[in-house]
Amino acid sequence: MFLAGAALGLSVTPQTAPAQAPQELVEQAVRAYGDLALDDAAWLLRRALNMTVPPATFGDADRARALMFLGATEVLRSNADSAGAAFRRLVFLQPRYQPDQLIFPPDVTMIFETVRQQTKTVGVQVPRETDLRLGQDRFSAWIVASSPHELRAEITYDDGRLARTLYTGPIGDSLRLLWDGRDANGRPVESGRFLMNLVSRDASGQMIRLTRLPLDLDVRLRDTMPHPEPPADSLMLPESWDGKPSLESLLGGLTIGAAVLLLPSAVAPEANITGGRLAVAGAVSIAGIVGFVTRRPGQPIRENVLANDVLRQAWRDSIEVMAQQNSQLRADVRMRIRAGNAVRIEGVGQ
Amino acid sequence: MTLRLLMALMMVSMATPIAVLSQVRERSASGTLLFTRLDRRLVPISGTPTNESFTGVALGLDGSVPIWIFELDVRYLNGNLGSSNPDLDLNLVEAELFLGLRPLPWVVLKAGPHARAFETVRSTERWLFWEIRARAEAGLLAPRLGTYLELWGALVGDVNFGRSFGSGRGAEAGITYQFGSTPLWVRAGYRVDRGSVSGGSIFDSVQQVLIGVGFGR
Repeated sequence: MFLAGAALGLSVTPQTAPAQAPQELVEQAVRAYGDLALDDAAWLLRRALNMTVPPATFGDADRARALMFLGATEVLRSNADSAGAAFRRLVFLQPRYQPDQLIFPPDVTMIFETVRQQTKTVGVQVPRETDLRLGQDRFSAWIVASSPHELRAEITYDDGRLARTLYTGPIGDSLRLLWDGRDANGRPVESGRFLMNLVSRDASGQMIRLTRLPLDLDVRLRDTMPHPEPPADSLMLPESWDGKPSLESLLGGLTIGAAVLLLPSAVAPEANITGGRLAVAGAVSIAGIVGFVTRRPGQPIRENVLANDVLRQAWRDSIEVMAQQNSQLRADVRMRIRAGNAVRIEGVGQ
Repeated sequence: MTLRLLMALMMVSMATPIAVLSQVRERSASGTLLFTRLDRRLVPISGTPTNESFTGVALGLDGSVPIWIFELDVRYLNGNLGSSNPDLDLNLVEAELFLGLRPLPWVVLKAGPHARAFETVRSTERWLFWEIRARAEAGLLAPRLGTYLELWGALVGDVNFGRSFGSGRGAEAGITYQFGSTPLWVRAGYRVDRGSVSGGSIFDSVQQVLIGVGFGR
């Protein structure tokens, strides 16, 4: 009974090891396709494609190859719908896929080309992570189309609000989109999740298909420096005289002037006092009087005013320098953009 | 009197803290033109006192160097003095060396020797004074225009012409002007200095009007 069942099983499905890798299944299917064991090939290919494995084990190129053989198998099995479905999946996976003309017969490649022309979709190639400096670098996305059609590319916020329209117009083979990290008003966007929406449209403008790529932005602003404090009051010199210095000048000048006049008599009473001392006494006394007048309360102290002006100007200069540095720091916005996996949403057109 | 003054000077010196170090001035030097008049009064034991006068121009050089908390001041001058009798013309030479201390920013106390010589064709008359001095400085139109007054007295002295030293005292006052923020300054002043021998038979009084140019602060 068991043996009979096993024999029946072997006659219906190809023999596979329990933990066979999808690539091995594909290789078995390719051999079966070559032997025209089409049912076995289709079964093996579908089994490989339905396996959930890490991309490193069964990548897009392997998957595309499996889909191409599956479509070709279904063409040869006269299952046009199944062939079209397999080719459409292939076009979604790799819009620019080119079947090997030496492996596949012309009727297969012709059907594939027809499906590709009818399937309006785009693929997007972006680096997983992009670091850019605002105003200098731009985020670059390489868009490839399955066939010429109308395309609208935009960046939206996570809630669907439009941040920036990148492109509206026809796409032929491919297109490079650049985004400078700013919104429609030219302002840098803030950190958060954004979506790159690639809307494939028909001639009437109806959305056929939406390819959506999530983008996580981490915007880093440089810290700005605080403005320098104004000079402390303790550093500022008095800019006008109070009453004391003027009296000091007057008393000092007159005292020294009087001393010059009187001291010779006290020091050397027997000497003939010269008149030269009068000039010195006069000069000292006049200087004291001039000091008294010019250092009257409220009179500006020119040296101190100039010294304080130098301090104030140095402070203003330092503010200007700091403002320039802060302006440069504010302009130095850096972004890290992490791209997620693109998803496809079918529309209503076509 | 002079002993008390000396003791006061010593006490001030000892009590002056190291903080005065910051008040020591920078080194300076100057050249001075001195319009000099020497009045010599001779009082004989019997008879009428006689007066002799000599006038002339001397050239002086002086400088100040900070040493630790002190200021070392040196001064030298030389000039010919003439009188109505050409045979009596003489050459005046003076030299001073003082160590000063600045207990207050505007006060300097000094002590040191002051030598003076009157050279004639026949002889040289020398005076040596050991003096203490006090100098006060003040700004009239600070910081550029200032004035100063210096007083001194001789504690002891010596002469070389067969008499005993009597006394010595003097004073100088003047005005200084600093040119802007440069270290260049000018000075105008009046100085009077008197020495006498014991018994009061000879009085030499030297008056000088001085005009100088200096460098330093």
